[in-house]
Amino acid sequence: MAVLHHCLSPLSFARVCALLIVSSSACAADSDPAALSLLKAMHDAGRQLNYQGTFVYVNNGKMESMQIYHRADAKGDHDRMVHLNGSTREVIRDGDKVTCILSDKKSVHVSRLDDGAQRILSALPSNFSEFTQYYTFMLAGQDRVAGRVTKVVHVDPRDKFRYGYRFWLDAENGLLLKSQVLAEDGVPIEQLMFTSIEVVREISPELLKPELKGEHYTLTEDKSEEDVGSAVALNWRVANPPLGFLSTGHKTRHVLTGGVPTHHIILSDGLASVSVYIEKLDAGKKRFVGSSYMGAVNIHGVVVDEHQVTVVGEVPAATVKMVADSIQFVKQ
Amino acid sequence: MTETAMNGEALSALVDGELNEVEYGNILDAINREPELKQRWVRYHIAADALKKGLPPALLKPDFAARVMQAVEAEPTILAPRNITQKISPAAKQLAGLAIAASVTAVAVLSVQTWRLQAGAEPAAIAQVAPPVVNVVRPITAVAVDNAPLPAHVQSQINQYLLSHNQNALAAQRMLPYARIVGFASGDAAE
Repeated sequence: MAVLHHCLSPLSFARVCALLIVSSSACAADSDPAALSLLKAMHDAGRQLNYQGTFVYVNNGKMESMQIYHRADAKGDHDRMVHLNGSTREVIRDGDKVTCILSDKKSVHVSRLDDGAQRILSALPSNFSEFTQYYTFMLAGQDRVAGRVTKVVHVDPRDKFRYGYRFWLDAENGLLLKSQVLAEDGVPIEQLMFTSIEVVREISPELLKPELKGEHYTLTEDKSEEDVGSAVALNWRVANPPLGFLSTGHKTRHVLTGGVPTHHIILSDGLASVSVYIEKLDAGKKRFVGSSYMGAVNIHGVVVDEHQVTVVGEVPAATVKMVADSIQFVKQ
Repeated sequence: MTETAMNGEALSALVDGELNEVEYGNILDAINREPELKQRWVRYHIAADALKKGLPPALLKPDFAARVMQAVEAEPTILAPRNITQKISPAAKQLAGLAIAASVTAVAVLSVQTWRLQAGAEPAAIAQVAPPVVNVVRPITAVAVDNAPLPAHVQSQINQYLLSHNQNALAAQRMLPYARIVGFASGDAAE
């Protein structure tokens, strides 16, 4: 030992320490903390400012134009999105209550937000190291969107189980003006971009009221129950999700498919989330097995122990498949 | 057919969402090259919306078209969808050319609908690969299965799941899930 001490000059000792530090934090070293701070600012700005604007949403080869109104007040934050093309559809969010009014289906659907993923994001950037295990976060200069100067943040996945993201944030107020979800090959698969946006002192509550009256519409209300610790939650296990996807919620939903209780497990890696829906298959009921997608959202269905398991998430197809294939029914 | 006429047809297909990725790129290049085509694109778009009785009157502001146009001008790459529709109009085919058609065919195979229904069949009948123990990506091989459209009740169930997921599970980008719901036309999934 004494010999070893003797051999290490102060300089080389420092270098060894430096090496150790570098290797232990190798994951974080290629991310820029400033980029994460910007995302945190984006998250806060999106909730705390009053704004209205028009944006385009590109998905499945189609471009949709939408109008958004966002109001922040003592009771929390509220927004309303209106589809500008095709049949009228509106989504109104009042705190954690989300109401979808779909004129083409003559239906009104009410649900409560699961805030698991939101909580993770709110904790940014204190949970910096958690995020940087799965993604790198980099600043990528400036650009102009909707006539505003923006800072560009690149979020790239470290494995094939996540998408990459590009965010354009208003340099002045932090609002997200444009975003892209990138597939594994770097091709944008879902995009959203403001064509005009205005931050205002106040958004009138009138603007948050639905344009659609909803008369003669079918109302469905998703009354879900927390399931954590319940028998059904203990029975179902996602044995082998891709690294970093942790369970943020267990719910039982009652309206999803004609009154059959559906067990809903939500997994998230902090940026993307995956839903697992499990319901009992009655005799003769059609099963569906295989995959499909809607924009960046992939879907995979399997049958496990006479239950239909459907996994839905804004993650690559490989991820929903891996989650679906690792669902286990464990008899307690 | 003149190039403009071809582009005109491709333009209609663009507005109707019938173009594939490659065709998209080509027509957008053309839109960017020819100001006249760009004007027409905006007119088509608004006309298509009006036909579908989409735009609430308050939003038919005169500057709306200008804004959309501005957006296209500023950001041609915003229109770069991944998904390849299998419908290819003859005009668009000509536009794309043989080489592109070949690549489209190759990609179209991957986007083949792979849902399979089983009525009372044993789950064992499905070639389920055991879940990988390590995080290694295994490409999902599109098996040659019955390519028939999904029965309405299954489609509707999947749509319910999509709606539920987008309503409940928040993503990094808070507007996106809602945008999906709002922009979610019936039959978009598993099309």
